[in-house]
Amino acid sequence: MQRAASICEVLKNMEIIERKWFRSLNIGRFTEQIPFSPIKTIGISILIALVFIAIAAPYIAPHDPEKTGIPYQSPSTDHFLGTNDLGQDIFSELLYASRTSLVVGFLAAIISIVIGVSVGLMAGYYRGWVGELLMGMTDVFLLIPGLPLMIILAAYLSPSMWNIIPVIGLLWWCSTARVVHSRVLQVREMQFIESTRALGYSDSYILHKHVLANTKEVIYAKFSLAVASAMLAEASLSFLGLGDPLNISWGEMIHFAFTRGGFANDMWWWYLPPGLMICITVLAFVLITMESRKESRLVELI
Amino acid sequence: MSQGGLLVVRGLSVAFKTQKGTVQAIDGIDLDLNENETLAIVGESGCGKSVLGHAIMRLLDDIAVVRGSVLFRDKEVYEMETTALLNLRGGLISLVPQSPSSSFNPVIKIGKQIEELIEKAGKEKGIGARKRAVEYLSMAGFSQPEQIYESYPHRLSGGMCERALIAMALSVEPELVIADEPTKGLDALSRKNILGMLHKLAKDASMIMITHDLKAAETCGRIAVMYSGEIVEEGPTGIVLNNPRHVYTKGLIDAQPSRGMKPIKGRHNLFSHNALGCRFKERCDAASSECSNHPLLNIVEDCRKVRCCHA
Amino acid sequence: MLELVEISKEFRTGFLGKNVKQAVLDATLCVDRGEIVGLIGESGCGKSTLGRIAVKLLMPSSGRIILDGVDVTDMPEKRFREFRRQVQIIFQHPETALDPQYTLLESILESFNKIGIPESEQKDMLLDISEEVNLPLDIIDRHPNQVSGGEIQRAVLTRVFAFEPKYLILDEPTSMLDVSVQAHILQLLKKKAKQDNVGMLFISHDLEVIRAMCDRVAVMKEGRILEEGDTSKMFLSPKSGYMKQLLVNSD
Repeated sequence: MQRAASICEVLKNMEIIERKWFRSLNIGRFTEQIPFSPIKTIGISILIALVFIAIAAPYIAPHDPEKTGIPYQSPSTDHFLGTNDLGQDIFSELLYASRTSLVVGFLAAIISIVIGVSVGLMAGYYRGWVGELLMGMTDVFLLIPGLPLMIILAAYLSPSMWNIIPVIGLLWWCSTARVVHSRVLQVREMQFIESTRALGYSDSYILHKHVLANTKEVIYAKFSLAVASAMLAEASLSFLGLGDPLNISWGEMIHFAFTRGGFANDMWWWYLPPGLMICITVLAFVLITMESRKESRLVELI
Repeated sequence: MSQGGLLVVRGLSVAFKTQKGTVQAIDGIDLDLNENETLAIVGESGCGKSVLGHAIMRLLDDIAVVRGSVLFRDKEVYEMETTALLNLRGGLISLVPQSPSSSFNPVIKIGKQIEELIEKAGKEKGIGARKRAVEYLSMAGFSQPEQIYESYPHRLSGGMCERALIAMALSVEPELVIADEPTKGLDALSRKNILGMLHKLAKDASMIMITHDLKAAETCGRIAVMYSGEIVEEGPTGIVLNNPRHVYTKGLIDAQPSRGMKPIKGRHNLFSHNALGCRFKERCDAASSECSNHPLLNIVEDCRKVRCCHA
Repeated sequence: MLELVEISKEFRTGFLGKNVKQAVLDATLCVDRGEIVGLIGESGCGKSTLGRIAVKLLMPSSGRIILDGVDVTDMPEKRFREFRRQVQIIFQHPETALDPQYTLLESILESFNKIGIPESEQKDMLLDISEEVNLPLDIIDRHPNQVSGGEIQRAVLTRVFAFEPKYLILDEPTSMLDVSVQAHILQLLKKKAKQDNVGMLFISHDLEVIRAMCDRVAVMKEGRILEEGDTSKMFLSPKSGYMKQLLVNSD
């Protein structure tokens, strides 16, 4: 009787394990209840909408942005935002410009994050002289005034999107490196790092599976902000006329509005919309990084 | 309705709302504390002992549902105005919080933080407050109190931080000290020092010592054992520890390494707080059908109460 | 036999290692299979450092680590890995003992995978060990911050026992736990030592725990081992003044 009961128990346990096994190996990690946060949701929705606009620009744009027509038209049902000095449709141009702005933002951010995370991770994990050297280098880079250097570099290199992206990426990684570094210093003091080493795992495994995993929140946050700041940097460069003339971005639209009489003629529908788009995109990224309030840790207090 | 005691707690309950449902952290606690009395509240993590300490000071209002009454000197704590409440906390009642190293602000010197509290409580001002802070640090057993005064919290070890915290809590001459796990994680020597000092400094005050350490509890006059949010046994420390009447108290005593390290069977979880009947029955060898009725905290002998139908 | 011979360790901090802190000095200690050796001392006496040196998480400044007759002190990490399996360590703070990013099960599987147990056998192995360490299976898909300290320590034990270690370094494994949970885990460790012939180095500041657990005891102060002997002898008639002082204070 008792034996039967204990077998029953074991079977039940088997079932429990079976179920949890499945969950933990497959979808468990991703379906965990992520606390719902309205702010984050708004940010993500805006971003999805922007990416959709960028991808579907040829289909939703009412006109070919390169096609010329009657210049300096006011907004009408045919041209929502009027036309520019060459008679090109500004609304269509705005939609197409989102492509350049987003691509520059994302690629530059990826470059800066990859460099920043690698430097921060190495410096934090291997402390000693390696760490000192890497962080010293970071500090030197931090001291360089970013925008002026960017202007000089962009002015000397040919004005192409593919030059602007690495220039921005190479100048924005320092703050990421600093933040990742301090987080890694914190994580590596935790005992599970030592106990995983004691299990015989190599440094690269620990860095990747444990240190990086515990730093990812910081990295995500930094990434969103990096995209936003890369877009702003690109807008600044373009506004100064250092942008890529073949790939019009929002910043460049403002530049053209400025140089070709948009401001002088008070055509707000020319210079205001690209500015707003930049604001909205940056706002979306900032919203995404906003920390959702975690469930109170008070249960631990009991 | 004067009942004479310094602190009278009646029917105090605290419930936390979590994603997985409500957790009744403490449930219907009755407690009396007289002047100059020391009471140890003993229990394992999750039994609600720290919540009780915080609820007495009304620190949980905004995050939990609190019911019941706490009378301090015949004044209802839960009906106090904000100013009266602020005078109560860190003036009449002092809390020595858990986790000493994170209880100080890391960017302000220890001495400054103590001084700030003394000034807030209106005990002394300026130079006087500084003198008093140094004096209490030296009473807390620091041979160079001036040096500790000038130190930042991270320079101090866990035991030293704990002593500085106690000095801080007692520098305002409170009438009631609530010490939350003052000896957690300390070695034998530091533990002995801390307990000795705590009792010395608090000799003119009443004290509630919240602890999981029966050795520390022995230094108090009275003991209350908590399990699953309830007091299961209460009485004079010596009598309770020498002749425990509740199975859980017995289990705690026998689990000590010096008493044979006999584990208590089963395990405790937060949601057993909601169970019907005796909350310990799952882990009790003497459990019978009577145990499905919720037992009351009955007076068994003079000054002793036990919550068990077999006691 | 795990032998630590004349181990010294100094830490250098500050600019160019100007500040030298002698953590361990000439410590010699050995642990035989099936034996529990206690290491007592106050916080900061170097006992944890010695424990970490025993599993080569820290390298000694001088001295030898000899494992079953093989000198592993200067063995390169790659060759040492097979010995890693034989000597395992368990730490004090349950709150950071497991990676908060992963569930208990995932952390346990990490060690199973390291040993190279095929997936088909992992389940049986988990059932076996979790029964041995009394790990409730209904919580293994939770994250460490959702379970109690005792449960985390049990998961840690599951992780470590999977290696079938010959020696175990226990660095205050229960000092943060409740007394009844502590009793559970101590009993379990004691049983493990005797049943599976595991040699344990039990580091603690709690004399009562040491007394209840250990066959032999060593006392450490300021990096040196002052005295070593059978538990009963050490507790009844200690030679060193320091041990006497500790005994007086613990009462």
